[in-house]
Amino acid sequence: MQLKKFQETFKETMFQPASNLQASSSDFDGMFKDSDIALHERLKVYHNNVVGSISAALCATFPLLNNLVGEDFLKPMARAFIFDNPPNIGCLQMYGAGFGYFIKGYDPAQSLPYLPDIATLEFALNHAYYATDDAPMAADTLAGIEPETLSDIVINLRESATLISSKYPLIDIRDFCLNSEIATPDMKTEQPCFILVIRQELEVNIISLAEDEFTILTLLNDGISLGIAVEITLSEFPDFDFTAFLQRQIKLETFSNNWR
Amino acid sequence: MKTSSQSTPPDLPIIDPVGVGFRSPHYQEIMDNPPNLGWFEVHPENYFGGGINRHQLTKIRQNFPISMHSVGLSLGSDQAVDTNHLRQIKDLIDIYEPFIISDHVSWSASGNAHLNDLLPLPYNSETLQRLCNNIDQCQEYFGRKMLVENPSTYLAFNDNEMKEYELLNELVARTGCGILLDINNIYVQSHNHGIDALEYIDNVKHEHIGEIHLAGHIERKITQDDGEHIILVDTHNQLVKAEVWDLYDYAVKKMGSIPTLIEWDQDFPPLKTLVSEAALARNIIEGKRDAA
Repeated sequence: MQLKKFQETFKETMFQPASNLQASSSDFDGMFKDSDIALHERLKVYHNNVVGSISAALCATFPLLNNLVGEDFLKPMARAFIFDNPPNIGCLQMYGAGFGYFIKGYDPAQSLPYLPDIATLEFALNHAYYATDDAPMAADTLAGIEPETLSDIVINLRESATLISSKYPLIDIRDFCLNSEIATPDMKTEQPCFILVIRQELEVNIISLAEDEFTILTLLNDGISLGIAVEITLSEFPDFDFTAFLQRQIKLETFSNNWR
Repeated sequence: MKTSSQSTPPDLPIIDPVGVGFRSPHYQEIMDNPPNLGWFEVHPENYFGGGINRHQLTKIRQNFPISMHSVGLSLGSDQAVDTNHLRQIKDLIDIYEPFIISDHVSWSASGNAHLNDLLPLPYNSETLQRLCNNIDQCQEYFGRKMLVENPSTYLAFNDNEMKEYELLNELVARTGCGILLDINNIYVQSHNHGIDALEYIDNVKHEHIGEIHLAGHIERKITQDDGEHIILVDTHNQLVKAEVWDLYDYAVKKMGSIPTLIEWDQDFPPLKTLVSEAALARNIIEGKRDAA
């Protein structure tokens, strides 16, 4: 068997349940020396290493999920995700971007509708932790721009920033996970929440946003110029206070110094 | 107490030949009380991106030389090395100036999937050619020599055309790379595949060994109809076993002082455990094994 075919077969063997290890092809089996330990037992060592290490990395990225559903629920869900979505780069710290989306379609999780959004929040926290270092927009940058060109500028958010909106009280659920003395949040009633996850200096923070702030930040994040973003936001939220918004975001260091 | 410069390999920026893997749970302790270690090894993949990990590495590098031991290049895959991965490692090399760069004689990627493990290869001409191409690609990209490490394996191939040490020697001859000799992996191979560990150490090209790894392994019991069997698994979560120290002692007597790393990659122990393992290695290098 050629190296390429061997590696493809080996990969397929690893990304399926261990119970299938005995059913590999004769071409593949014929590559290995007979020994006193059965081939499927030897393959199982690799299966444990491959699936175990990827699963451990994935579960470490989602500690809140672990807290909410427990290891016995999370581990099989993680395995199912790994078999469908193996890592595609040789570095696991950013693995799991699609876990929230996967959970939406995972049958055993259907009775926990807030779970995908918690996964999205956790991946945003992970993203912020590892995001490339970048500089915030300086406080006096906007003041230095000619008023007539200000509305044309395109502001980028920091590398670490993620915006999340959810029907569920994500911050309350997170606080509940971290502190067992807090009362169980009401997860049945819809309570829209708007969040900015961002790293400030070396610390990752979750910032609660008003809906108008979330709207304009989403527009800016999509590359819409400042003037148009303000216009759209004001049309939806006539009371939107642009000056207060700018002051708050400059203080939070939400904007990158990479603007144009 | 730092060891004398007599025990230092020539042409290296380290005074003490013994290092350990740097792990963030040990960061504060290292900064507060710099341990008696010559250097730290890091997996560059843990420093892709920015944030606190980079910050810690910057501080560690201000106080210690570092080596970079990659686990994601997948040199043995039947495909070229991912240039995005190479670029990220090169960026780290340019910033942190490691005195050694290394990866493994194994594969982990097939197509777009990465299996995050050091997977086995048949030792034949096709594998040799593929490894050479990928090592050439890395060394060209980095603009410098790299070391490649012998793996632990749990499967052996029928169509091996050469012994593992012959493959290593051939890689050196064809690409100009060096060897990172993992003594624990040789011991694991000797148990799992019945190879002769002393023959391995005698015949691998000593002058091209740039680093030695020492680590712990576990015995996994496999129960079959014909009884119980033991397979050794290279887990990097244990003390170095006595038999592996014996082999290391044998290797050092043959090869002299070579930068030596205590590897511990999961279930991290207190820093002092790593420092005492490092002291055992240092004593062997200095010919004072009984002093431990």
